[in-house]
Amino acid sequence: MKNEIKNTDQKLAEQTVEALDASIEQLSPDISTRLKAARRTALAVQEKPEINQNWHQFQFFSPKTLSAGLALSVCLLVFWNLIPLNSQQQTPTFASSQNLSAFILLSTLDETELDIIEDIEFAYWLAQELETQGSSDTSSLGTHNNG
Amino acid sequence: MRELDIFLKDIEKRAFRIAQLATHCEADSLDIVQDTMIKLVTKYSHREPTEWKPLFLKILENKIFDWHRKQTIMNKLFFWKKDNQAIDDQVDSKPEAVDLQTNPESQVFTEQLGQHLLACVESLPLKQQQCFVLRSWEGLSIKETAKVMNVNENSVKTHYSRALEKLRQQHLKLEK
Repeated sequence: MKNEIKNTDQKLAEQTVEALDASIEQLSPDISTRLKAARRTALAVQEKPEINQNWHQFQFFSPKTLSAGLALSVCLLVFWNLIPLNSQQQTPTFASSQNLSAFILLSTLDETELDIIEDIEFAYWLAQELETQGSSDTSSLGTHNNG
Repeated sequence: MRELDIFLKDIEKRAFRIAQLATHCEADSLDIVQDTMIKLVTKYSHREPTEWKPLFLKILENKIFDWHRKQTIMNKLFFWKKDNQAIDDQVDSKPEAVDLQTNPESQVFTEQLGQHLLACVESLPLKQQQCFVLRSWEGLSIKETAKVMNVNENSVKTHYSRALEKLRQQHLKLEK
């Protein structure tokens, strides 16, 4: 029974294939012409590839690309190292010039002059402290009055 | 270039017929075949000529399924046109009842049987139809058909056996 079905199926498939082949031969000349035109169009696209299609053909791992990339990375590394060096050299010069002038100024002063400077600084600090205390007292009085 | 031209010339008519069976529309089938050719030429022409056939058929299948998806969406969007189109489709795809008793000559019988079988193939569900065509007509193996259709091998076997079963039933109806 199974064999019978199998044979029938095979026969049917063969007959259908024959019918399909015959239907191709019976295609109208108009269809054949249009198919030919479609083929020509497709092949013409290959002959004249668009500019965008070249992008897909770009090879990232070609020797030219690799060497260019290597050269670029070396340049970047060199510049990366040069720029911080300059900034490091400039900053200490500026700071050291200030320190140096202060050092020269202090070295020229006597001990008595230094004491006077310290006293002046202490007086200045004291005045500031008193000012801050005074402002805090007035603010606290204001809050008491409000309360 | 010359090889590609020969290959396309050899396959274009069969491709058109496959698309026509699936879409029932001559103009759309031509568009599908042209798009398939262009894609093969632009993307895969550098491949080995032995790879062209499965690649071409895979692109063609994708285009056909895309067309059907698009049609489904269009039918949903323009639902008021659906009824008229469905009637037209039924008229187009309905297997023609062939009266064999009135045509005793063998040649006529063969022609009519062939037409009837083609109409049966046309009326099959899309996946069964494509599976049958690829397996029987294009001579692809189960594995190749599965690859072209983007389904697993068991699905190919199921679709193919169901397609054959439907053809057998139609044939039996015809004989009675």
